[in-house]
Amino acid sequence: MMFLKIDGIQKSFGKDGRREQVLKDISVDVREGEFISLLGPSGCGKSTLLNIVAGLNRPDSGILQLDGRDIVKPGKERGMVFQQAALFPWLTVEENVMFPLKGMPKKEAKEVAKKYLRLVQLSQYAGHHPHELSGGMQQRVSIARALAMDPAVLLMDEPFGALDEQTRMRLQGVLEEIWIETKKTIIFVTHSIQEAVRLSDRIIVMGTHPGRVLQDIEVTLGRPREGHLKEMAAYEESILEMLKTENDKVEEEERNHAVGH
Amino acid sequence: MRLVIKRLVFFVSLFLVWELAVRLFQIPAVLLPAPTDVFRALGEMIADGTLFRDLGASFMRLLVGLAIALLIGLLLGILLAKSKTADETLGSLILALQSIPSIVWLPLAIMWFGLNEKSVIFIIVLGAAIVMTINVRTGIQNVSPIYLKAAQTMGASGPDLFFRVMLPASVPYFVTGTRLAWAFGWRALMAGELLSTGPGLGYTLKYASDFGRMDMVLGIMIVIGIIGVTVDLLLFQRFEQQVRVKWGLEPSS
Repeated sequence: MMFLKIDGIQKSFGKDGRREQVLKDISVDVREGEFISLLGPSGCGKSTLLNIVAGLNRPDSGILQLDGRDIVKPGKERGMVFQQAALFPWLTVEENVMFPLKGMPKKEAKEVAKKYLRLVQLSQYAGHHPHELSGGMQQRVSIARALAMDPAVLLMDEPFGALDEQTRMRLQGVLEEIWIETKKTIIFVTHSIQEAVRLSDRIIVMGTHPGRVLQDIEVTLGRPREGHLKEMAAYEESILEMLKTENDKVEEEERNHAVGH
Repeated sequence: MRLVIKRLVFFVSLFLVWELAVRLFQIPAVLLPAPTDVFRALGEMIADGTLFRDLGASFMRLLVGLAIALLIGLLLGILLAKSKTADETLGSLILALQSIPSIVWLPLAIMWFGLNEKSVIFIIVLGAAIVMTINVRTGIQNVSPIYLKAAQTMGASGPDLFFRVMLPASVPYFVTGTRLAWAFGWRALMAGELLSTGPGLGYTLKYASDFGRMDMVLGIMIVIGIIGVTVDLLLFQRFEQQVRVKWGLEPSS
């Protein structure tokens, strides 16, 4: 039995009276402990797919199972980190990390929060409020918050997309360390080829119109990845090449479509 | 600091021009008393204790009225935000009521409650509860969807989601609602007291007017203005600003 089974997912949205297919027959099997990226241009439905796995959206059809159980709504076994940190401004950093720990004795919850804040190197900011932190720090708190409830899967929707390049690179390093330490299963949505290669064991490359899986690439490089710059560049190049052929195909289709009318 | 000096110079010259004009054109005190007379009248009212007795009575009424209004506003606002049917029916009535100044309810209120404090408090409640209701409703409806999504992925739903996320997320709107409720309540209080009974600032103002004591009338007007500005600018707007910064709605300066 697969750990996370995504099988034959279809999804369309209504737009001005006509339906547009966003996801077409998406099937991915995710192994436990795997760092997997959904890579593709905007509009390929990668975020929609992640929202479906989170239970925030429902697919039109298809099978979605975590550990053999159907996913029908959001749950604590699937933590999510969004592009915006989405921290609650009325709570301190520590209280934010404790938010999903409702029901746990307060002292214990505090210990858990402390542990995960240490993991993202922010323990000294426990008493601060979110508006006092930089964007990169907020996003680290948001990662700590998702990890605090000890989810089986961590879903990340372009978590570093709104950050500047330097912060982004640094956080990629932090995330890789966290992954090595916790061995969480992570599904990571990005449109950056560099980011996908830098972080993933496996990259699911997606295309648009309709959103579909183009290729499933295993990245067999050692960790931490910093030491493998040359090999990473080779992977990036081959993915870029593949996306280019795909782009040409789409453009040709569009041209033919226009001529046909 | 320069702002303070500018304002000081402005108000001192305003009073100087006023004083000079009254003396130069020999304007009778029933039309426009000189500022020196006004301040003397204020001094008398402070000395014999009327001013503080009136202020105390007025504030008591205002606080009772505001407390009731804020509670009603909070509950009604939540109802309108949560129930579409209530919003479409009761909501339209409340919007319509908003365009009626609450003081015009006084004749009815006097019939219902008599010519006493209750009528004035009713006028305050009406004026203040409506703005509070509208702000609470808007606040809850405008909770950022990203907060709701994040909370849902952390297992929050139903009442838990409402009390731990939606309510606290709307606090800036509650603060704005409270500030506006105070402003509406303060105006309604003065109008109500002017037309009904005392003791109170508005009532003393009417009393002074009946005796042609325009120096007292102007003195009370100045007190009303100073209290209004102090509470609104120094108390509420400052607090509102702090809340908005903390909630990330405005960058900290």
